[in-house]
Amino acid sequence: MAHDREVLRMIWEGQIGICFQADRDEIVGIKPEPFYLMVSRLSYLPLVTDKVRKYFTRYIAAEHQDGAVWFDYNGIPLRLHYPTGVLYDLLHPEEDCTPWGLTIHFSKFPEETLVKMNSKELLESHYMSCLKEADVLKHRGLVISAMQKKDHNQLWLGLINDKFDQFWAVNRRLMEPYGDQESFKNIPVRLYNDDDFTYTQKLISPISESGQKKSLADLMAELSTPERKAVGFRTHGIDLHEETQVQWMSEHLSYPDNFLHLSVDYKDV
Amino acid sequence: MSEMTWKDFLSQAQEFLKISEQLGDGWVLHEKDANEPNTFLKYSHKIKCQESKDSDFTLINVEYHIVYSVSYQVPMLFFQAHRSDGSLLDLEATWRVFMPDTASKDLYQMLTQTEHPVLFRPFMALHPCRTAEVLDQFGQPSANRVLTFISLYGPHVKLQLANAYGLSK
Repeated sequence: MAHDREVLRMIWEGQIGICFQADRDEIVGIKPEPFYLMVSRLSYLPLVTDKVRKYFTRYIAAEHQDGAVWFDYNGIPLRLHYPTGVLYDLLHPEEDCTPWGLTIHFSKFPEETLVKMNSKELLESHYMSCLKEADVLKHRGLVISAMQKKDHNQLWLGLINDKFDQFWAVNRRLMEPYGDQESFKNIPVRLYNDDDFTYTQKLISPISESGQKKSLADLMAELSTPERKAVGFRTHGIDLHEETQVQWMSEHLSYPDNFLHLSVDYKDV
Repeated sequence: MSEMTWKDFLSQAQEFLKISEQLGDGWVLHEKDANEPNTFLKYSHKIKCQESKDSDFTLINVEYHIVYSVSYQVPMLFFQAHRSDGSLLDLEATWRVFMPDTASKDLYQMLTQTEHPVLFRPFMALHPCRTAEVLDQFGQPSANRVLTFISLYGPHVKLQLANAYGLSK
C-alpha cells in the first residue's frame, strides 16, 4: 500500500526546466526568442507543449504549421510516449544545471524512429495500455478490469490536469496487492541500459526465493552477469540506496503509467 | 494454462518454422541476441490495396513480426507497411487499409502504433489484452499455440497461412 504520501507528493511535483528553440530551417523572417517552460517530470511532451507550439507557429512557414510536432535534444529525436522525466534522466548530463535545451520541429517527422503521438486520444490510448500492462504484471489484470470507464478517465484527467488527489483516489487501488496477497506478483519496471532509450524486459518478483522482500541489492545481483555488474539505480533524478525495497519502490516511485523507470549503472568486470 | 513461457514460445516458433521451411513460404526466425524476448518470427509479402475510395490500387509491402510479450506471456503481432516509394504507412493510413470497417473509437483499443519491444522502432501492434483468453478458447493444450495465434489473428491484418499448416477449419 502506498502509505508514504509525502514521497508520493514529492514525486508528483517534480519539474524540469526546458528551453525550447525553433528549427532554423523552418523559420521565416525574424528569429524567435527561446521559450522557457517548467514541465512536470511525470507528463508527456505532447501534453505540456501546447503553449510552446502556439508561440513558435507564428515564426514558421505556413506549409509546416499543421505538421506533426516533434522535439530533439542535440539531434536525438525524443520519444513522445516516454514521460518527460525519463527522457531527461536518460539524456541530460547530471552535472548540468541549466535548462534543458530542446528544438521544436513542425515538419519532417522521423516516421521510422518515433511513434507518432499527435493527438490526445493517441496518448490516452498509450497511457491506458501501459496501465493495463502494469496491472497484468502486478495483479494478473484483475484490479484494472474491475474498474469502470469513469475510473480510467479519472486517472487520465488527474494526470493531464495535474490533480494529485483526483489521480491517487483511483491509483491507490492499483498500488495495493490484490485480495489477501502481501505484495505484487511482479513489478512493472523498465530497466534502461547505457543511457539510451532501449530497455530490458524481465519478470521481477518483489519477493526473493527465500520469501524475503527483495531490495535493490538483490535486484543488482539478479541483473549482473559474469561480464558486467549492476552497481546502481537512478530514477526521478535520484540515486537509489541499495537497501530500498523493490515493492515499496513500485508503490511510491512509479510514474503515473504505473511503471518504475530505472536507469541501471553497470561496471564491466 | 493460458500462460506461455519464453521457452514454450521459442520451441513452438522453431516448430512452426520447420513447417514453413517445408512449405517454402518465407517465414524466418530473427535473433537479435540470446536474451528473452529477442528472437521473433518474421514474414513479408506485398498486397494490393486502395488507400482511400478514390485512389488507385497500389502495392504495399507488409512485414509481420510475431514477438513474445514478457508482460502478457503470449505472442503478439506487430507489423509495418511501406509503399513502393519507401514511405511508411502511418496510423490513419494503416487503419484505412487494414481495418476499414471498424470505428476509430474501437481501433484505439485494438490496433495502434507502439514501440517494437526488440527493435525499439515504431510498429503497428494488435493489443494483447485478450490473447490469452482467445488462445484458451480456440487452442488445444497440446497444439502449437504460436501457430494457433498466427492463424487466428493474422487474417485481421491480411496475413493468411496456407492450409498445409494442418489447421482444421
